[in-house]
Amino acid sequence: METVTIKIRRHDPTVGEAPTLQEYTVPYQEGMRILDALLYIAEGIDPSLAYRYSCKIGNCKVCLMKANGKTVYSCQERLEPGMVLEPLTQFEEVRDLVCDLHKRAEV
Amino acid sequence: MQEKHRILKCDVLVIGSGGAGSFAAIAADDQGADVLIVDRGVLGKSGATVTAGHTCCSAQGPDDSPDLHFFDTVQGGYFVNNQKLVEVYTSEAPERIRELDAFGANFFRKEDGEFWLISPPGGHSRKRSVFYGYQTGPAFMRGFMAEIKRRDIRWQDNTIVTSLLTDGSRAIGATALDVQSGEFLVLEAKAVVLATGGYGQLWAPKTTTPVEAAGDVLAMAFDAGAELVDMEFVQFLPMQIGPKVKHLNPTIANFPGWREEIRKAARMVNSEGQEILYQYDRRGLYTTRDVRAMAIYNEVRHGKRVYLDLTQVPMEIIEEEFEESWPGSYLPLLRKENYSLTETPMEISVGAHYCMGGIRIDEHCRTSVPGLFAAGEVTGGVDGANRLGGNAITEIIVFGKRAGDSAAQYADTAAEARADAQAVGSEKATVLGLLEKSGDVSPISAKSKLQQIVWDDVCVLRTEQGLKRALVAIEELRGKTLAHLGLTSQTKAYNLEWIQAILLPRQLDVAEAVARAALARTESRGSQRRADYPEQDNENWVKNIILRKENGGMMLETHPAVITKLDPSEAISWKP
Repeated sequence: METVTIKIRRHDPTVGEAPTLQEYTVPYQEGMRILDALLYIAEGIDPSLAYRYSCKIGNCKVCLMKANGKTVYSCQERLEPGMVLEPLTQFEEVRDLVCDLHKRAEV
Repeated sequence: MQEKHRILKCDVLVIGSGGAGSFAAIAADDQGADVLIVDRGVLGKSGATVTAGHTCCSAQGPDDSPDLHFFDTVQGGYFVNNQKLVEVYTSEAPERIRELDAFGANFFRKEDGEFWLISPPGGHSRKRSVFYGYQTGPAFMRGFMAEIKRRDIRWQDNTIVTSLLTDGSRAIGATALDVQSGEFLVLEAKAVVLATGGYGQLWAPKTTTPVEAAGDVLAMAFDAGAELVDMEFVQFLPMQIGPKVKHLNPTIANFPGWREEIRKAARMVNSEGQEILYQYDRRGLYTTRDVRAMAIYNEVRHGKRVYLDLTQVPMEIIEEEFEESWPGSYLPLLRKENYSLTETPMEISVGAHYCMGGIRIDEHCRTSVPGLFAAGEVTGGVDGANRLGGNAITEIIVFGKRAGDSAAQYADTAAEARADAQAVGSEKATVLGLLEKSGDVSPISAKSKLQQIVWDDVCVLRTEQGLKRALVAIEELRGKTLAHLGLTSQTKAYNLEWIQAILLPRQLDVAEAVARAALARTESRGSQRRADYPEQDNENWVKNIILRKENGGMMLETHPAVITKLDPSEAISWKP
């Protein structure tokens, strides 16, 4: 089975520990999106991962995150080997890939 | 002792902020009520409204009337709609659409300034859909958010409601959890509006519904004494699953119009190249969408893939069809993404799209619990056994407004709400206690198990054997999981395991309600397809199934459908 390994920034600001980049390996399917990988990880590998989504069709825009530094919709963007996933930087972080979309981060 | 929690007070508590909740909040605010909106997702971006593509119906055209719209809707619902609700819907829809347009939805207009109306998908006898390209849902929500902001209505999002509070005779609010901070909240209200959408996520990942449509709120309302109606009616649609094209709505598989040149040359085939529709209906692609859904389901559940093959259709004809039927539609998107419908067959599956069933309401959106109102997909009755495309989005705003009006009027004379400290304390202990669970069952994988049970046996094609198997499996899952849940993380910050642990028992209840109702209806009608009862039985089943909590169990009874204007016996002779 073809697999893909990606890295996800893990951080819980409610605990006083430094962020880490955690590696996950997921089965790969042609055309797979980032969100497909996140769902797989949460259901099969690590249910403690925090990520946000709603409509899965690119309309609601709550699944925005950074993939290799570029801002993307995780429900629409194709998954690539070695991808590094991080939360948006312009909003206050909540945990892992989730931000508070109402609160601008202090610069 | 427990730490203190925040109490938020209001006149009208609106739970859910899609189209129904937003209009309810605006209407209640109009009446002078102090309103609080609560949503589990992100305000303005949560729920199914934002997913709407093109269609949004109301009788606006010079050749149209609420009566025609009424007849189409009741025929389309196979005569088990609550006709009182359909009358309200079709007569108030035109005005609500104009109001929403003025809030800022800005639907497309023709050169003469009138709304540009297009044909909704099958079953409507007139062009009656306003639209905003293929982004009608987002336009809707932009309009609502502008109005909510203008009115400065209070809101609290990222917050799931965990239980409804009653004082024994009426609804007085809810308990809730802010999922970003993990803070437990008590929401005290003189009246409560439920506008939280359907239960389509029970079939995830095979669904077009958003993650918020978990269905838990229906079980919560049931628990508080509200009745559920038509729970067996769940609409499934063919949905596009491949190739993956950015921003392409999966409902494109319900191809625009299906004009003759396309239907003649198009084929629906399985991975072995066999045509799959003719065995069910000699009309092939001309068949209705419930038959298409059943054909696809039967292939997919046996491990085959299904394709809509348009490779023999000239691209000009497809382009013409799009331009005509769906202006401002996917063509530019498909070109940009370099996907030609006529080069690669479209892989399709079937997905839960809309729940016709839900909380039983009257025409004032009252549930059977005083002070508790409901509107939108969380309710049942308007659509009967099948919803016509383009009706959902308008229905939710018609009843959203009514629910807001009714709730504000109720709140006006209702006594101050005071949550019972003991009830609150016990709910808080339960919710916070879930965080400490250290059993060996992950709530997330337990939810996946439930979804598998429902997909296997409470899906497009049902049998007595399958439904009974599902009921046993649901009971087993309840017994094996609820006492043995375990979370790998105890953080209070956006803990998806914790959220799922809260939702799970409610979702089990809702799945049971669907299976029980589907088992009781010993016929096929609209979206309810029984392999063992393939015929529609008008003799015995122009009825609705109602579920009520009694002595801790699910009591099921049938009521004759509410008929005001159109008797089923007239159906055959009536033509629009």
